[in-house]
Amino acid sequence: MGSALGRPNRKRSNFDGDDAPVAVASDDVFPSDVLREIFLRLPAKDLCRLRVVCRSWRSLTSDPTFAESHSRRHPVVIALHNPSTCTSDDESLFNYLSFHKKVPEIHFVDLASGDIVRRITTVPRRSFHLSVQLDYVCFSVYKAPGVVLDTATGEAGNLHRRAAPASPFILGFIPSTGELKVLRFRLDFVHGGGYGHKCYAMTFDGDGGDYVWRELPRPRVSLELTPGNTAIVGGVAYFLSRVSHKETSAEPDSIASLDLATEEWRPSTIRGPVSSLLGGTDPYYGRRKDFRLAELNGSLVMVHYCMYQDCCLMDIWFLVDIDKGVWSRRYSVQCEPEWVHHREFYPVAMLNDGRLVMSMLTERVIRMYDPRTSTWATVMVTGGEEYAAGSSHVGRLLYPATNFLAADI
Amino acid sequence: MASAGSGDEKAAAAAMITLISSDNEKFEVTEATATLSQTIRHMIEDGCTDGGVPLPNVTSKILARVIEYCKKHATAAAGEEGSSSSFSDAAFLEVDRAFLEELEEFDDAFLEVDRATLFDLILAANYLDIKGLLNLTCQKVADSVKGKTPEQIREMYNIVNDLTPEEEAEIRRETQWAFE
Repeated sequence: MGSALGRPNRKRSNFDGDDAPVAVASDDVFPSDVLREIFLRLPAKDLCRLRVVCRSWRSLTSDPTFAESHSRRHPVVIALHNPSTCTSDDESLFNYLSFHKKVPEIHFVDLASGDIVRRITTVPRRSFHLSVQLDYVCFSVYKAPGVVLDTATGEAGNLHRRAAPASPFILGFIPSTGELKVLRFRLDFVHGGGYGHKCYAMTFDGDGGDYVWRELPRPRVSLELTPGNTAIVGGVAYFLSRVSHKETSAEPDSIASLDLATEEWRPSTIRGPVSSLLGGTDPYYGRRKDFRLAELNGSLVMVHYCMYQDCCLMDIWFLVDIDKGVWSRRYSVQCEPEWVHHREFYPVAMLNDGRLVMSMLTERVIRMYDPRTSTWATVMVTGGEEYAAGSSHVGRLLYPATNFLAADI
Repeated sequence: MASAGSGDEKAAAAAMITLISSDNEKFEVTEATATLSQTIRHMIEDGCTDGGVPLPNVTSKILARVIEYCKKHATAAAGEEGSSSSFSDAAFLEVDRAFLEELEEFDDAFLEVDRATLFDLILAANYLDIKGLLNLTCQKVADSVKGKTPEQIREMYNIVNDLTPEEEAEIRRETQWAFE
């Protein structure tokens, strides 16, 4: 906030030219910086209603710098709302989906209020596997090309000319070069039996130009590609490696990584926190499905669910030193009993005060954990339907001001 | 402040600042109370508080209330500093909690003012750059607007709608969800 010292003497007299009164209240006048302070404290829904109060309020609430300050104060999670559960490889569910005539939407959920502060309704049907970086989201579409959508302009474009096989697209931002790349995978058979992934990359320039996909080297291990098993941190894509039934010796929490700038796989996998601490000596220390990957506040995070009878403990480990493979456990959270039987929840955001936002796919809710009080609270219930591809991210909420209309794409 | 020994702390507490309201009333406050205002803190740092700090934007009525707020919260800040060294002590935490509750009650009572006073407090908090007070008072106004329809807000604050019906319809269409 700027210094107010330069202001004229009496407050109800005139104001500086650049600090003109914005709202005329009953018998008082607020300079625009004060009005801004008040508006910053309102949830997005109320702000949108304020837009029709008068012209000056509309211009203040539509100002991009205001929108940015507001979104810093009111963190938002982006989620893909599907009318029904679906997975990439279950065709019968897609049939079920097309039977329902409902269309998926992208939701921006205000974590403070639980309101859906924005909807993008131009998402093709049968979309899944949301991937979010900066202001862009991309998702796969069953039997159709994948789609990338600029949430700032609302413009959508295809990632591919033809229908892509049902495999997720993963968006990755490279801070060192400012580039945004898209990764795509294809499962095929490899020499000597078994199958593996072919990996492709494309540099995304936002223009929707002629996309050129480059084939990358094959990953050295088989990868898990579903949401909750991949994360992008500092220009590197991390994947939980897939453990086949034959590989009893493989560590269930090992991580493969791809440098997005050089498009090279790192030679060795990163050992997860549990196997690096326990060395795999304890046969009960974890199965593959007990682990999840996530990105929280710029750190790579591994979630480990420890199930003991009717109790579920969720440990969240932060990778603090990638070269030495040092993990630090920052959260050890007692989960609620009803979550024991499904691990379909994972962290999507960590707020500045340490609160943790969890997406609960099967419970159809977004929940918040407060480590100071060790309590859970519901942020929102997703209206009886499911956030089928609930891969979410704290993003910038860009208000649909008059210059762009999300619903009009 | 943090690095000061107990002797210096006493000296700092003894240092008094004179604030002069727009209607020329003088208020003597401790430096700890006055420096809740960033504006005054900067003036003290620049050494230009001798002979009093004139506050031509703040009336004596409002300044008295602002000082009341600052006094209460300056004690709170001092209490926090003192307890941080022994934060593991459960008894201390209990005392802190009681004090925080008391502070909350104080804030609630402090906000029991008419709208004109509330607005004057906001302007004073903004001018003096007192973060806590600005937050408290702005939140109060924000809460009064929450959940209201545009018509109700216009009526509450005597605002003339200068948008054309077409413009208004356009804005409503943009963010229809906000009006449902």
